[in-house]
Amino acid sequence: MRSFQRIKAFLSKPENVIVVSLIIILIYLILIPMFSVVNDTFTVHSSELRRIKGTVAGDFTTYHWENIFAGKYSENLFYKPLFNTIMVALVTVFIALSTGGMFAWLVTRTDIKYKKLISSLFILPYIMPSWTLAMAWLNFFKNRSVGGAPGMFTAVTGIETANWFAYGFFPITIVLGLHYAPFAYILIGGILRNMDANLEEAAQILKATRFQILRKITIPIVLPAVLSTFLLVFSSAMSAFAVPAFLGSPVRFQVLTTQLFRTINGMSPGYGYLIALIMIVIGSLILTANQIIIGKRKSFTTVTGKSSNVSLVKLKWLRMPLSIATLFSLAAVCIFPLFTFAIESFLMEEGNYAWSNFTSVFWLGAGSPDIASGEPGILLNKHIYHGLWNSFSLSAIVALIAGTTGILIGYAVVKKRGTFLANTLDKFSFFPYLIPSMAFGAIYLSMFAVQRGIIPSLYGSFTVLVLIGSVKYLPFASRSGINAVFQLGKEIEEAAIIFGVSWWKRMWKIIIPIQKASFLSGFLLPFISSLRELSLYILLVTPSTKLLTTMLFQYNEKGWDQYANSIILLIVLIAIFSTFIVNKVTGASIDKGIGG
Amino acid sequence: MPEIKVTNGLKKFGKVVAVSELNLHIKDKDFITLLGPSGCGKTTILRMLAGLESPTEGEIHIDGKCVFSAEKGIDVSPDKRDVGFLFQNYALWPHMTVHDNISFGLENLKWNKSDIKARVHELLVLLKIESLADRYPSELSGGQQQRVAIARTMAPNPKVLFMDEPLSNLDAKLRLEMRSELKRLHLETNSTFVYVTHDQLEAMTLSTKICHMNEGQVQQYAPPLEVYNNPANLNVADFVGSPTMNFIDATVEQQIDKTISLLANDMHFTFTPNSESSVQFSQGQKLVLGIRPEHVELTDNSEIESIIYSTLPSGLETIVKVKFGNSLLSSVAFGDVDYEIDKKIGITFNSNKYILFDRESGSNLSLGTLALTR
Repeated sequence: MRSFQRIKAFLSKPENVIVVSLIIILIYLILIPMFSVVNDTFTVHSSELRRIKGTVAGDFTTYHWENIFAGKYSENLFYKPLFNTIMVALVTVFIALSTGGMFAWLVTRTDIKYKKLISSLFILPYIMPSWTLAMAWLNFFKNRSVGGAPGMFTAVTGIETANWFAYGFFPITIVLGLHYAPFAYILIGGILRNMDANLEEAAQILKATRFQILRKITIPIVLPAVLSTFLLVFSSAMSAFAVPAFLGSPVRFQVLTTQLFRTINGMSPGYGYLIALIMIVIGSLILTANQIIIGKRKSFTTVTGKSSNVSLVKLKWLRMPLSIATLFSLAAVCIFPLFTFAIESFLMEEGNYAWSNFTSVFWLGAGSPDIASGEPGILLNKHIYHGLWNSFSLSAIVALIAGTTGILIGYAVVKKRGTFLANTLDKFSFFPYLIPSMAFGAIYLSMFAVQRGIIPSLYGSFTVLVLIGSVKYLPFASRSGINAVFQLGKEIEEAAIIFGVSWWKRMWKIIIPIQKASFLSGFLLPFISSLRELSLYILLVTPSTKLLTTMLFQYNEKGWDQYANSIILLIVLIAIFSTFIVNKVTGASIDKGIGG
Repeated sequence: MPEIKVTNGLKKFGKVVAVSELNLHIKDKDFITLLGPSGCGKTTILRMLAGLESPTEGEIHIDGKCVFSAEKGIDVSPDKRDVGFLFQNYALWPHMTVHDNISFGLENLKWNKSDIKARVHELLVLLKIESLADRYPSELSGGQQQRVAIARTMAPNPKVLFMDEPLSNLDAKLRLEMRSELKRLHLETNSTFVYVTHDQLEAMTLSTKICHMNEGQVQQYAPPLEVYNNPANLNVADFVGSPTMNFIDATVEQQIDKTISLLANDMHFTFTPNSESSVQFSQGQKLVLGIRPEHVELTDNSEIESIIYSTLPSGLETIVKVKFGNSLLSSVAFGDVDYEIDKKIGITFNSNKYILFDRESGSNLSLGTLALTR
């Protein structure tokens, strides 16, 4: 009886109810799928019956483990893609950090001109889906040797691009590197901007030279952030799917994600599940390392005080040329690709840039049997509108669920700070961040392909997309939720508790209105991310639930490049437009005013 | 010997004038405080002297050498000015231990290892932080961080030391303790200190000379007691001293020889300037009469009556507010005395340090004695 009373008292506090129910839900949506995928790596799947002799579907087997790690084909099946993945990720990190870091330094520490413009242009590649640049690369540099029409570069100059230049490792790293450079820019720029200028001035007064200051003060202080950026970019590059799929498949350059996609969709899902598991392990290891780095005792976050005006490095005569050159190179990366999409989408016959060859049929055509199996132009195409509607409604619902849950988590975790339950919930809500999108798709495929308990098989349903999206983007929302409530401090709410204001009213009238900007970003970030997401959803969509991004992928696979180009233009415009709206609404841009 | 001279200094941030008409002469071994409310330009001056900020106009000489001149295009960088700088937030390098923070400057000077070791140890002992040598700044308390910052700044024996509100982040007790340590440090190191603060008590107690700033301009540059007893204008008078000076609006009735009759607080006073060469007042001139609390003496045998409004006894002294006519006057009674509130008490004006300010310009017109006329 006493323990019953105790439970009743415990559950009379809203934060306890939130913590307990969310932990239970997240166990079901994150932890159990993990077991399910492990189980699937030891199970014979029906499509594998012919190869694993003398078994029936559902039998226990170590076939997948043996073949992946120590079989005849494991070289091509696993080790080579793994090696490719690691190399791609490493070079990507190098490109992203060096360009992002250089731009961050230019914008925060020198007197370069057009800082605002540079800053907002530089963020664009990150706002655009990563495969935008990949498609642009193909439009520009593709060659005849793989089949199909040559790209603009060849059409204009007559020079045939080499295979290594047009496809595979080289363009993948360039494209991914440029895509993640803004990420490095934001993180390093933020540190450089917030780093107390007094730290460098103190060294200067003690007669350190500029170089010594850089080597002994600036770099060591920025280093933990750089390392952390390194790991985050590495793990993102590792889980990238669309870019290697677009640029790698023409020359059969496989990485773990493309291999995962191939095997799960092909004849041996068991391999795919095992690759997913391996990716999850690597991802978790990397991000755990990141946590350790951030939490070191030398961390500089404790040093406070007013930071005075930073004395900017004067570029002198280099100032104008450098500013202009920077703007031009940014325009080449950010604006030019959009033109290639526009041009390609108007070409009747690919590779022919004569004026007579331009047509609006892929935008407005009614559809005729001799063009792409009678597919109508995308503005008249009901499939496109269907996909658009799916993308929008999915993203909106995902944002709503993730955002709301994020606020609740923020409230409950801060309120019960330091307790075991709060820490557990905090960790759980962050866990999806560690799982590469593609692998996450795989574990949901494994989890929801069959009926489990009272939950029916959800494969092919819209619900499973909503579930995976909400869980995958929960980390964004819960981070902003926790930060928002944490900043608020508990006194604000306690002042209302003393007046006897109810919990609902406290949330609606006090906590949410005060921190609405941060909470809003907890809704909008998932929305934008989901809108341009491909790898998370691609294993789970079916024709009735297709999304704009997965349609793009299919058109591209079929070689209907004009359709693909027009869709990509559509998606990019939607992404930029919605980001613009977000900035206007929340008043906080992604680059957080690094360009000042 | 280091001597600092600033002539016609001007600093603009964009269009905002931060400091103007700055002329300052800091002598060797001075302890100068730049005193003023926040945003008055005192930190900017300090940063200009150290070379962290370039003035828009003017010249700066340190030790006879021109380190900045807008006209001649000279701007010597901070590392070549041979100065030390103590930052308000200490600016300790978070990735270095206490020991490394202190030795950094010496390494830059290419001292040999054993000398560095000896010097660092000497400073650790001097500032009583030997046990902290291997800690990181984030593991220190505010007071400890401050000591490390001082040690780091002192390590190369700078002849000139600039300090930007070094005590403002400490708690009251520690601040008091550090004040006397700083004063000793000034004596022991034989260097010139320039010290920024908004705490008038700190400025009063520490410095050999106070440079009082307001809105980017020097209000008064004089020894502390001079600033206290003969403030240049209302602004300075109001800022310095705690409890603050009493101000009573007054109007000139007439002037006979030196003596001025005033109408203040619905009462008639006569004011006799101390100096021989007295200022001429015109009839009806609007003035402010300034009276330091300690020059309102409470006594039982005086005909001037007032009523006790409030008392704040601290043991050492009691701050008493009395109702005098239609205004409130602060007064200080020394020792552990207390008074009954709302009781009548007599007051006297026995000093010769009453001040007349011009109400419009605020400037100090005359110091003198005060008497109530019947």
